[in-house]
Amino acid sequence: MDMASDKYILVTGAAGFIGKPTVRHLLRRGWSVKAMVRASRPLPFSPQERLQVVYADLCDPGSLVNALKDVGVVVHLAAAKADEKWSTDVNVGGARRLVDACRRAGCARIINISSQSAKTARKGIYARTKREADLVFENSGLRVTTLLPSVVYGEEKSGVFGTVLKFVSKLPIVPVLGDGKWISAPVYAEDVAEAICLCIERDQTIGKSYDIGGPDLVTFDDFVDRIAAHQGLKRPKLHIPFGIAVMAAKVLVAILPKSPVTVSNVLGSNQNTNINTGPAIADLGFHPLDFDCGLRKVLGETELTQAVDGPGRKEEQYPAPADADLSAECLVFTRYLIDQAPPKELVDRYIAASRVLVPEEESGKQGAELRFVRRHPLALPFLDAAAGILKRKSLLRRKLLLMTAILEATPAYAGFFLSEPSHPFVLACGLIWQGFRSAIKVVLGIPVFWIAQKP
Amino acid sequence: MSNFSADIIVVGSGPSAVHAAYPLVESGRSVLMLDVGYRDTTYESLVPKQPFTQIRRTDPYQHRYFLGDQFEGISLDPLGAAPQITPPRQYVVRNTQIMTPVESRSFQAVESFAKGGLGGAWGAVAFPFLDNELVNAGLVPGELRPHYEVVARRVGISGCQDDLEPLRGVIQPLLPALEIDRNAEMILSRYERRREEFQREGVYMGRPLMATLSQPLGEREAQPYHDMDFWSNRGRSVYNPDTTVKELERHENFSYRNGRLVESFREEQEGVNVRAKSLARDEPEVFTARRLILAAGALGTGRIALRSLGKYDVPVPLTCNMHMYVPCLHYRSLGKSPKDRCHSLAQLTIIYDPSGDRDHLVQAQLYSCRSLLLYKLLKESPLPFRESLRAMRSLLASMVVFVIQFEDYQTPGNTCTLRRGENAGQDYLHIDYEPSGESARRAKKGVKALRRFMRRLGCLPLRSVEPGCGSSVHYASLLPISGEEKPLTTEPSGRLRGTRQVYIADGAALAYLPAKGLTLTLMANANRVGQNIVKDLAR
Repeated sequence: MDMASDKYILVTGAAGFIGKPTVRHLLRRGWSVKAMVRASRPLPFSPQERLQVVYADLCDPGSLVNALKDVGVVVHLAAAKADEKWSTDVNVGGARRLVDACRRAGCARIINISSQSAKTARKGIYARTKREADLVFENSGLRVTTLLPSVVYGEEKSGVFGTVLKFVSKLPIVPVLGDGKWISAPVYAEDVAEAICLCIERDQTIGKSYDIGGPDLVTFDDFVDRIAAHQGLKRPKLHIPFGIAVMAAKVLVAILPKSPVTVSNVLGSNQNTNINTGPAIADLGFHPLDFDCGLRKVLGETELTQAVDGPGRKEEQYPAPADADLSAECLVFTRYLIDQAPPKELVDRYIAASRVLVPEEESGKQGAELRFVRRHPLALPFLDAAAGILKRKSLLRRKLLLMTAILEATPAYAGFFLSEPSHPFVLACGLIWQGFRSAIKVVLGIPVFWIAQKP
Repeated sequence: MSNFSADIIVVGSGPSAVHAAYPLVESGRSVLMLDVGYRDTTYESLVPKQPFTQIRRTDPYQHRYFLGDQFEGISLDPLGAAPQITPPRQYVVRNTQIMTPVESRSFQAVESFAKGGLGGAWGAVAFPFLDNELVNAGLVPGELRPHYEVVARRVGISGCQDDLEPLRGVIQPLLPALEIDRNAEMILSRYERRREEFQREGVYMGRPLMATLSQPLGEREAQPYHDMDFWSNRGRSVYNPDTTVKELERHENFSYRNGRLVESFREEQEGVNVRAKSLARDEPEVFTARRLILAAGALGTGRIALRSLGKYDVPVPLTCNMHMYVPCLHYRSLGKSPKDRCHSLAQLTIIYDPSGDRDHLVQAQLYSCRSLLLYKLLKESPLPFRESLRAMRSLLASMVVFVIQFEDYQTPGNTCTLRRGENAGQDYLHIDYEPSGESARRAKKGVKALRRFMRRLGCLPLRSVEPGCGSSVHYASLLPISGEEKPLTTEPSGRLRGTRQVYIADGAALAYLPAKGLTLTLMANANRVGQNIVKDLAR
């Protein structure tokens, strides 16, 4: 773009997660930058030529007019991210004040950084205020480009990425809000900064909005797993149903001064937005890093080599189980399920089926729970219960299912699988009893599950 | 013209193929049916002719057909696309991905090389389309109605006239309705008591029209009510098109040649050359005929037509009914002993007319899921297996599944493209498919409403399972019937536009899929196309 060489680019939210790399990229590309920070924040930049730090606040129109002196382009990153009562004032009111100040200062170009969550149908406070702010900019008559980044990760561990990283490294079980199937395109903060610079340099981006994301679409579960894998960790996930997660977030926000999750987080990470990075790639010539490369940069080099060699996980190799192991396992499982010892024929069938249907075991990858049960058969009921909640797809559960299927297709055990008529009251009591037993086993099982995870 | 292999070549042996061939064989024309034609009765012949519970308690060989000799019946992963494709039925979908590959990120395509095609594993629910639905599909209601009757007589449809009729359509030659199981009886009577209330809200319930016999027909036996329909169909009570192949083979002017994978056709001045691969000798063969009928299944037909016309990399439309399973606990039947005498196919049909104008219907079938085995239910339970087994056992007889279906229109983004493979001479179908925002919204509303009605009928919905695009195995619209002169469409007569002697007789020709099983309509349309060719040849 053509801009007088004595003009500055103003970056609001310059001390933030995306702001810092943005300032750096702009300076590197030869622009003069005004980094706008609130007076209350410590100064994040070392003094250098072409960089001027201005103290201003989106809620103070006077300070904005001052900040916009000699500015040709505004990169608007500042926002109230948590669901706070002043979010509307900062995000929507701030946008209005910024637009006003731009008009007065004669600055016509704005790069507005919004969020994918502004595209969702059901919005929390953050998403709603960002959407309203986008409309303010779009209808301002100024030359606006809006960027809608997906999940952003970077050296400064903040936002969704920071929260997940913290959970993964500190908690033995990672809570996932919702079903874990939400799809995002994680993008490296440096790439977002790059996209911002490209927007400034290309005038065909004026009046458009772009989805900004990395090249990989990952589900939330996958997102957690990959972050764990890059730290050489493997974490079971606890899916918190959507409704409960929303309620929990409301409670946390109400009682904690700084809640780790907000209603916006829950809503935003459960509604897919059909991210389409095609236009950004076409118009900006934007080539973001893939998620694994980016994580390697952010979290360090060392662990990835181990992580890529299983399905994204660090997994130790064990010899394939011998027939004796499998037949012992069959005996333990059958006793557990139906209190009987299986005939030889059934043991053979179980061994054959294991070899066919559980190939991962043959190649030496075995679940920690299953290995633990081989060593401590008495732990089976508890581990089964805990895995049912924490790790539904664990090898232990899969093999128990296989055993159940084999038992079901055996006439001697048909009675365990076919229903008998009974009085509804007796039946209800039976159900409550089984539910009660399950609950007890889960409570006792979780510590056992924990112990089993330790190598 | 004695140098033709036959007057007419029919590709495929599924529901469309056999009923397209039928009128031609009857009129005395020589018909050659080319088909891959797998048939495997190893497992089916092991299944004793006994009720489900008796088999379960007595048959020592049951693991062979319930689980499969290679354990192919056991899936340890979450509920897949087609739990009804049990080991005895797996031959129906064998080898298709190897011989006719389909590539897609979002769509599971199922094809069949079996004798009888996908008709070897269908649910046997027969739906005549309504007039507006036929028009949307590109068909003329008045013209098609008589063909429904002809096909219904051939196939044997059991059913009765009930509340559903205005929304389901009528066919005349009905065998008496099948008996329904305990859950269905209770749910239906509950509906009947509150009928007005339900109908005011657009919900109609009744017994499905079923292509399974309540009385013997020809050599086929009546439904044995053994609750083994997902595992065995030995008396041929459930209609399988291979029965019609057998019937046609009694005519001298009909011949069935299996082991042939038809690859392409070329029109000559007079007649059509059909190039097929002989699978036994792995070499090409050429057959000739005056007319060619493509009825290889919508995807198969699309593939052959696109390849023959050299239309590589040209996207054609694809429609597919989206469907959804809603497992429910029918708590009012808890503790009651289930009837042993029942069948495992659809027990009841619900049609929901949200706008009251017979447009955008949503349809659901009710199944009891006892005979699909308990372990498949345990897979879905988070409880420890021991407790889960004991709890679920007493719930199993009260577990029902609603299979909800939605309509599908042609949408610009949903396409099927024939692409060249890496090796010369190889190609594959590429499918881009995603339900459009509009239809997804309508589906969501429909499911929500139906779940509300389920609760009022005494069924507690446990969850909604979306098995993914393509898993309904109802595909259509690759070469849609159109009145306009557009390339890669089918003329209203059934002739492939731009050809003189090639006809499309299967789902590829339907321009729209209502929220109803399409098989009966495919058969009726195929019969119509067959008769059009009879007339055409007489000219």
